[in-house]
Amino acid sequence: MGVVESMPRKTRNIPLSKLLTPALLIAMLLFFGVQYPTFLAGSSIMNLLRQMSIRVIAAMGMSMIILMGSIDVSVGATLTFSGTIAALSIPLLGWSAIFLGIITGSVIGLSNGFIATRLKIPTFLSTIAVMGILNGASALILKGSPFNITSKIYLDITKGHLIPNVSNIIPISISVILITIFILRKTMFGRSLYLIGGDAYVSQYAGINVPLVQILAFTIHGTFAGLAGSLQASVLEAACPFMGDPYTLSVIAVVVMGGIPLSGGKGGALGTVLGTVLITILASGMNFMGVTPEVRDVAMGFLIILGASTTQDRSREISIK
Amino acid sequence: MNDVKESSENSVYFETVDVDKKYPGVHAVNKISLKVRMNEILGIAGENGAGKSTLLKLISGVESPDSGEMFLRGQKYNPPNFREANIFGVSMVFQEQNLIPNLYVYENIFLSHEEQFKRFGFLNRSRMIAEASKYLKSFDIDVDPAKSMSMYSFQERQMLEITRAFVIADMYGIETPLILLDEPTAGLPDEERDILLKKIRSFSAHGVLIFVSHRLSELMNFCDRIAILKDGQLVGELTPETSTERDIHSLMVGRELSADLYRVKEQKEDIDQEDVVMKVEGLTTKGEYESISFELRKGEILGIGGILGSGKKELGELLFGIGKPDEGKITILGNTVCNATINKMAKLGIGYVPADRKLYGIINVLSVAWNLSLPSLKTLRYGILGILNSRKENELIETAMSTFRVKASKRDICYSLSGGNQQKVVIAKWMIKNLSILILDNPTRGIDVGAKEEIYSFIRQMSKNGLSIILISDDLLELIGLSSRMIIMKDGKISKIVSANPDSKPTEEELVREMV
Repeated sequence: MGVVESMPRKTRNIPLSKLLTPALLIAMLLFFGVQYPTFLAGSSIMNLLRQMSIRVIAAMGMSMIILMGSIDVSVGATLTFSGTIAALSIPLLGWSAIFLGIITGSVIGLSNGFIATRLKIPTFLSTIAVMGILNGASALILKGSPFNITSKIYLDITKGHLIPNVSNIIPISISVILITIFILRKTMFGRSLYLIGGDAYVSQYAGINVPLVQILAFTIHGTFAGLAGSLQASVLEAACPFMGDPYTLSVIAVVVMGGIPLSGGKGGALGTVLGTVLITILASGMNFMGVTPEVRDVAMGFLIILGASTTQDRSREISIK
Repeated sequence: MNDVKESSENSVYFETVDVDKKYPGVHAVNKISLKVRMNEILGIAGENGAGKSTLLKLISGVESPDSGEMFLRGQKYNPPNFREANIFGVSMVFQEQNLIPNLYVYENIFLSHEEQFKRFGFLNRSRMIAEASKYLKSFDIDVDPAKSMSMYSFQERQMLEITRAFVIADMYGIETPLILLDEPTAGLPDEERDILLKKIRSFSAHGVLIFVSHRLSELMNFCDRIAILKDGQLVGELTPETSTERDIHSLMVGRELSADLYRVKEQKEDIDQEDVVMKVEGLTTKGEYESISFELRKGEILGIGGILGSGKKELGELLFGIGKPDEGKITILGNTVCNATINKMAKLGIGYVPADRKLYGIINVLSVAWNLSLPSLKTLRYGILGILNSRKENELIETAMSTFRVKASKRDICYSLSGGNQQKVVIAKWMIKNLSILILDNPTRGIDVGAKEEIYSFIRQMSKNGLSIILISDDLLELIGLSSRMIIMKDGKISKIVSANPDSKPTEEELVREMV
């Protein structure tokens, strides 16, 4: 008879904590909406969606990585490097340079997967190393200064309107979200991510090819990050050294805020989307208020703590790693 | 340790009066009143979920009762937490060991009571070691306090846990501590169990013990009095001299023990006529096992017995592709397996239930459903994207839950299940897969009689359906009862292969002779 035996059954009621995040969201929308009526105007909402696109694309792949209990600190650097490769190849490839950017991301992800599974280096450490390599290489290739993109057709990838009044980047990011939800909910690969996050040993013992799943997850995540980087170059109309850096920690933060613990095993893509929406609304609301970036950073920090403390029931956990 | 006994030898030392504890949906402890006398060993029996662990947790301060009172040495006792209870001289040895393997032995002994050794805000390490060493010597335990905990065996660690309880009580000047033992022998093979019990017995002169065990024979031999719990209530108290195991069992489950727990009548005969499913030739790994050869036939239950360190556990792991032999050959269904890996073995239709359920058997944080379908996922996917057929998965899970009588809802997180139910999930997840060989390492360790009985019937049923089972077990009765042949291992070698036809089962003594 185990110590756990007399634990109470999990109650089925929706925990209060699950309602707090949407409540926080609505509160913020109301607050900014009342103070700045234009904040809720259609064009502003489009603006909001556009602003969150790149972060949400990168966060989808990161959700997969964190679900299985790994982490990728090189995500920002992957954005920078793939964006740089895409931008530099535009004169040669035109708009299809974006594919080279995406493939670059895939290759980086694949390498991260191999370093983790073959060399058995913890991903937190190995991806810090990869981050250094990629950031350094990007800066070297760009010789330290931005490379401007003039190709209108490449800029139209994000700024064009295949659907009237909707920037292309919005349907692109929605597609990535839908693909991720599909992978996580419907495929064996998606299930394997949860199982490995739950317990890699048990999964291995039950015949799950754990290294293969890890490599595949890193490759898909790299692919999404490559896409995000190529799109970012299009949005910025340039490839710049360190352009992806602001995304590194914020992408990890929105995933954890969204309810996927760093140990993996539970949560999902929609939580991550919610986390991203929260952060984006706050950032853009503060822009409306005209506060300085420093104040914004402070507020963002508090929001992450508040959001992360409400998105998940951690009452049973003794320590949080 | 002080040997002076209190004057009133037979006085009540500890008492609970109508203690009650409810969890959502479970009345875990229902108005239990118990008395424990000086220098007594009180046994507690009950099935999983009967409230044994909860009762111990209330006494040891891990949980507080909703109502009712407790008295210790005649005084009202209401510890706010485990540490405070320690100071009153009440301590508990948990079933899942409460020691930290990567700390030193002495650090573990004084864990959370280190302030006794504080000097200018620092810990006096050498005094701690000296004290620990003194205590260990007085208990006649051959353990070096300055070594890492992880160096010692399960049995030695268990001894240390119990010693720790005495040490903490002594540090706070309590002469006779109350020590709660929650299945201290659960993970141990027979010989080590005897050593441990003898040791504990010798301690009882210095303390009062409450002892929980699933092994009724152990309770009968070891305790002065046995209290039986069922569904959170105290249903009876008896003394071993005037009663039998059968009495306890019928109180525990409210029915008589079925005449044949192991369903020997259902055992397959003429197993030699069946096809060979697995052939092992000359397996050797230096330091673990040597020239192991045997054949496993279709539908056979092949037992593997031996004491701890005989190599039986390692052999089981190896047959599932964990680790590599230095020499030897494994042939499964006609395929010679080279460089076996878990993935290869799983593809060949081998399943493995490890002895350590918590570590390798079950994913605690995920649902019952996902644990059940885990080994079968490959048969549930289709198309190039590997989409899971959720309708088929659901059917599979429903079938598993009803066939193997898992008492939970499929969305329940495994963490919340009782040990017996968890083990049913672990076994069911393999049995619903189309396997040819299932390796079971101590499949009924630490679970109650009811769940055991069910698991035995599943094993029989699957063997009848043609599944070949390799049963590794420390429980000799289980080994003898279920197997049709037994491999007895000693020092990494097969010392004998014993056949066990239904009408001529060997006795425990015959097996033990080959083991040691």
